[in-house]
Amino acid sequence: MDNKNYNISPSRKDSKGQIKVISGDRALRIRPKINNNTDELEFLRNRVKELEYEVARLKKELAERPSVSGEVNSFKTVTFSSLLNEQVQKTDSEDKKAIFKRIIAENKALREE
Amino acid sequence: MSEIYYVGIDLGTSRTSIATSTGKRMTTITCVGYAKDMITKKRFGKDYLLGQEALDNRLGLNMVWPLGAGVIEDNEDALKATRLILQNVVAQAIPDKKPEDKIYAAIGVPARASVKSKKHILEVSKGFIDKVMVVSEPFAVAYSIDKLYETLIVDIGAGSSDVSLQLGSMPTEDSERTIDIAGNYLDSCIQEGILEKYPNVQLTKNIVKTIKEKYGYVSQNSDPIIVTFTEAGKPKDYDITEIMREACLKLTDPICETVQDIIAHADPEFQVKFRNNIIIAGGGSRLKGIDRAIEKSLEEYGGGNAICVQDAEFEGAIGGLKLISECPEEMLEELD
Repeated sequence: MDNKNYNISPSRKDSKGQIKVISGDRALRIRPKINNNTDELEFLRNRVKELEYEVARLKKELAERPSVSGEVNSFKTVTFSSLLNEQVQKTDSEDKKAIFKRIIAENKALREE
Repeated sequence: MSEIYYVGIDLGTSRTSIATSTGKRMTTITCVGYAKDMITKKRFGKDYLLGQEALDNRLGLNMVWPLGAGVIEDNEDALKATRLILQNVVAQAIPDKKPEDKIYAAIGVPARASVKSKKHILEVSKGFIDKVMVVSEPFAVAYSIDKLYETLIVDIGAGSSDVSLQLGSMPTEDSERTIDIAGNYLDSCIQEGILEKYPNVQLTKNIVKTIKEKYGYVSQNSDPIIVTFTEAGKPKDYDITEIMREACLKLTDPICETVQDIIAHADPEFQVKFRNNIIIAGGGSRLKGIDRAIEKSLEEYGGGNAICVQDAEFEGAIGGLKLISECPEEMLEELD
């Protein structure tokens, strides 16, 4: 990517002169430093496009490797919050099952009395 | 191919609300008016009218309000009238139902409703509802808003008020209270208050109910409430600001005492959570300032936080719908 239109510090470039990918908390911290004088939104749009291209390239590369072929499409991002959600949903459904058991038992008793 | 329709019904003393799995919501007044004579019968072309239509034409009808204190009255007329109301509300809510289709319903009852009154619901729904689940109304409200844990539900209806601790399981006898001080009691307090100050004004239950629903408040301040009544047929404006507040406090004071009592008897380690997680539902939640009044009553207990449900009219019915539609099919099979 040609970055001459953007006010990017040389420290944000890698050894080949490409802009380093900065993500997560660090990106948020340095956000004000990006493109003080240019259109930040346009810059970010270009970065998204670049990253999408990079993801597609990596997927293709992985798919071509025999050892991981077939697993690429089923790849699932597991984060702490997704694990936590699964756990909460599991507990929730167990609790609800117990509640329904109790309601049904009470309603059955009502019919039998 | 037959279809199953799920419905949640809040069968209330004053109003009956229904929510269906087709997305329909509707509410009707829980009353039936039977034609007094052949003239009325001929006028309407039927023996009875229901809900608002009955109320609007009540001069020629014998009115039956089948529910008292939140439950079906124990007499044949009340059972017959409740059946008509339920049949009508279900038919209107699911107009596309074919004979082979099935209806599964959860119907809410007051927290401490007797076994007999619950059995009445099973009896009156026979023939047009295929599976009926009777559920505690405050529990249905809690289920509707996903507040099943460490929450206190205050459900103020017309015939009864429920105060129920949600402990993460089905409520028990110790965790629920039902008192018969509710909307209808408030109506009689307002009527008494008005007649005491203005003995010659002409009032009906319907007039009192309408002004209560519009102006009821328990907050410290209110805009002046000026209403028009008739005196010997002549309309005149009357100031009922203070009468309204005093009457409303007669309703909220016993409810606040019940809230205090149930929290005082709860597990001491959880009392703070209950105090800070109070949900007010039912028609009574529309009284302006009721949330603050309950919070204020808990000041000497360490304070509290109360909020009113967003949809007082349908929260119970939606909870019922959610319960019946989320209940596993194999469990519903046991309800025949």
